[in-house]
Amino acid sequence: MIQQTKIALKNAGSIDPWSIEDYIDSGGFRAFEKALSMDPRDVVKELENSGLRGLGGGGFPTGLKVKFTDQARCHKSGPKYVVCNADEGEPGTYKDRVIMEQDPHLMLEGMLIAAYAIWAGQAYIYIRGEYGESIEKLKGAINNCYDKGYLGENIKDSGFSLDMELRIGAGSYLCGEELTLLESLEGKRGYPRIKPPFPANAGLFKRPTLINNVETFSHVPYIIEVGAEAYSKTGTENSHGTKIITISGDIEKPGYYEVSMGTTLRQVIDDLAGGVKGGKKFLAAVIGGAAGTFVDGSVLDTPLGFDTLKEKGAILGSGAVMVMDETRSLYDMMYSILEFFEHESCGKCVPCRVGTRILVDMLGEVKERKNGNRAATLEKMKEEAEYMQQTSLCPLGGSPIIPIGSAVQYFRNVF
Amino acid sequence: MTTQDILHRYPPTRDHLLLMLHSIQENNPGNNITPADIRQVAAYLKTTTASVYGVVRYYSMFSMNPRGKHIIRFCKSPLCRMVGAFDLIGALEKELAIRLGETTSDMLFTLEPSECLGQCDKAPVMMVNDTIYYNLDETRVSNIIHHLREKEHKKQTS
Repeated sequence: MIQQTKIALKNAGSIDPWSIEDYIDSGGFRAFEKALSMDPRDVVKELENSGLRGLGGGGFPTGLKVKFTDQARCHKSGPKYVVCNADEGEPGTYKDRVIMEQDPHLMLEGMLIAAYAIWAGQAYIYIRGEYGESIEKLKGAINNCYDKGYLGENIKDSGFSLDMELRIGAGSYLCGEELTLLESLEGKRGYPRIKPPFPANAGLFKRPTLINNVETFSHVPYIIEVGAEAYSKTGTENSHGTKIITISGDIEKPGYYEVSMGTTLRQVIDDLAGGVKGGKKFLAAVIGGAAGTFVDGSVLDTPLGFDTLKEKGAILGSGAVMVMDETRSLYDMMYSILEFFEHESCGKCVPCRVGTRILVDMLGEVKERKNGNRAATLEKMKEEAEYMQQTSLCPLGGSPIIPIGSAVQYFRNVF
Repeated sequence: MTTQDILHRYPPTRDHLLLMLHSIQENNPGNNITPADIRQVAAYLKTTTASVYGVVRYYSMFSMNPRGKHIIRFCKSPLCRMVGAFDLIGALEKELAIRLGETTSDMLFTLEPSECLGQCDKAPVMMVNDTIYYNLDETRVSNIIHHLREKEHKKQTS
């Protein structure tokens, strides 16, 4: 029987999210104060050595982002920014919402530490407009930090100053992609940018920008507190620390569970989430959201990690797990995923705009066929999706290949 | 409050545009953004109306059509669909006598689809203005609408 291991959710449910005093009493801001006593360059090194990877789904080494932003040219002149990506919209994912609603000060502390490391003077949180409760809690937490002197001029007499603002999105999945998010933050349509340049060199307002997900920032205080070395010994060889898994669908106890990297999905499903609902048989899980992978039971024993799952043709992504029992239709699930991409394609790149539509049509044409007789169509869709991936600017055009490719791999003959 | 009053709460820089539009929309009785609003925003930001219009039309939470007092956003993400979202949307359409995307003639309700609302452990879910309603079934959906209607009725008669 496994237990949860809590880093990002360590206070969730046990403190009053509105109260900064509660947060401080449970050890809050100790890590930030420790960071203030360090040379900012050492903080950068700690984050780099920790091996922390982007927990929003990308898995890019966070320490490298911090280092690149720190080293960006024009370092000494002009502003730099820290941006928190709180635009959680990947279907099946609600980990960031839980952090923001239950312990909003934690991610703010992570942002403070990161801002100090790269000596940024301004931070933004970009949150989706539908997350009303999270918005209110974050507003409260930011005000609390100003009141207690953790934000503003010359924080705790360190000579370091930081201002923080909350910015609210207005209903666009694509704005969760980091470059598109920056466009939206600048008050524009949510169209992706051509990269390079990457945000570390030319991000918000063309300035060096460090952008990370809520869960990623929430690991930063812990890393500074225990040290990079201790952190890098947790989890698996290439994925350290923990990951919040959000389980939904045909499961006895749907919800959010924070587990060590290396835990298997079977342990999460059986030990923590009570197994498949109603004692039914497991058919499939969609891991990682809509831009996620269809997997069968054989993948459930893979230790969670960015690379371990990749070897199986699956992805960890945002940590969403949608469980389907034997009575569910893989076809229907795929159809709704493809319709989702069609709706959310911004239309900038023709292959994505047209391709997402074509995929829906192709699948629609074989609706009446019996299960197990759609392999040829699925193969053709895979080709189409591969072409889209190669010819689209942003990850959205490259997303349909993820569920389609995995369906070909695991369910070719039953689809 | 006028649109001008709202605009002057923000510095006249483009990065405040989304916040301005949210506030303007909330302030308007039709829960929408009008062409006149767009002209004023564009003048305030010293940009073109086309540029502001493009932003308004891009984001699904902004609407130029007048909407009802209560905006129902029904989650139609893959997971909510798996557990019956479209059946419930159908029930709502019947209950309100409108189609998805439309507004009731008494201007009380607008029924909109929404992408994942991040409440998947309690699917199917919908949002009415800022309130989340979860673990929905036909009875619960119908009760919620009745309750909101009754509340409005009481307000009008008192």
